[in-house]
Amino acid sequence: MDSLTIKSEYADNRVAFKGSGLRTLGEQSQESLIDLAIIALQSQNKNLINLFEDPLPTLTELQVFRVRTKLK
Amino acid sequence: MLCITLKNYVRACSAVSGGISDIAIFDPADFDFTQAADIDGAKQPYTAAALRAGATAATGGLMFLITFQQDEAEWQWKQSVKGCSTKYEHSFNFQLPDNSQTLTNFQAALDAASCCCGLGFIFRMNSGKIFVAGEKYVNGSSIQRFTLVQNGSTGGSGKLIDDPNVGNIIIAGNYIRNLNEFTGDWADIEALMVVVP
Repeated sequence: MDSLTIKSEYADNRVAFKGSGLRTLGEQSQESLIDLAIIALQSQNKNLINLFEDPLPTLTELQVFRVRTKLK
Repeated sequence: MLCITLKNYVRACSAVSGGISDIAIFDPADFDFTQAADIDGAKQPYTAAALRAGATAATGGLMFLITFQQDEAEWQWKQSVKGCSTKYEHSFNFQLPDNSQTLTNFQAALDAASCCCGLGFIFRMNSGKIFVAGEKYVNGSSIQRFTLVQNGSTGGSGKLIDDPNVGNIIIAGNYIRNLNEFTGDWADIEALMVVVP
């Protein structure tokens, strides 16, 4: 997995979660999108899962990806 | 353990402040809160809030900030039980300065919401904790009805020049539990108060 992408139709939406700030989904950093994806998987909230372009990887893969992204 | 598994209530010793720092209200039909699955039978706080399908910021799907008189806002709750039926009475009292058309209109909107669909209420305490009340949707599904209404507000002009000219707004409702926390920051909530250009 190289990156997480938000579907274009949701790019201007705002979702409040820790660290999201005033940015739209399209403006969120990759780290923030990983955090949102983790929230989506932990809750199995289909509305959040549906925001992402591709099927989400597993929770474990996301956590590894988050560490890799932070180390970049 | 043979009958019920209890929980610890242990926190690292530190000071904690009372009072409310910020308040916003919302239409409970507009927002979906996200909650992770229970861990060891314990409910988890809300981790995200998003507009539901069909609700848009441009058409009023927003969190609405309330600028109350400083140090004049309070959340109170009272638990009671009859048999096994537990009730939590929640009450939010806050003082709004200046009787005006703006206050009249604000209250008219509260009255309409109270009659039709209830009020959503989110607030940050001076302790930093953010709590949610009156919410209707969690993880895309409706939860047991949690209706908050304006009920019992008072106010007036005062008599003297330095008397308070205020409205004391009361929003209250009963529910089956105490309030769930929201783990984001208030800045994240503020993002839901503005229309994307």
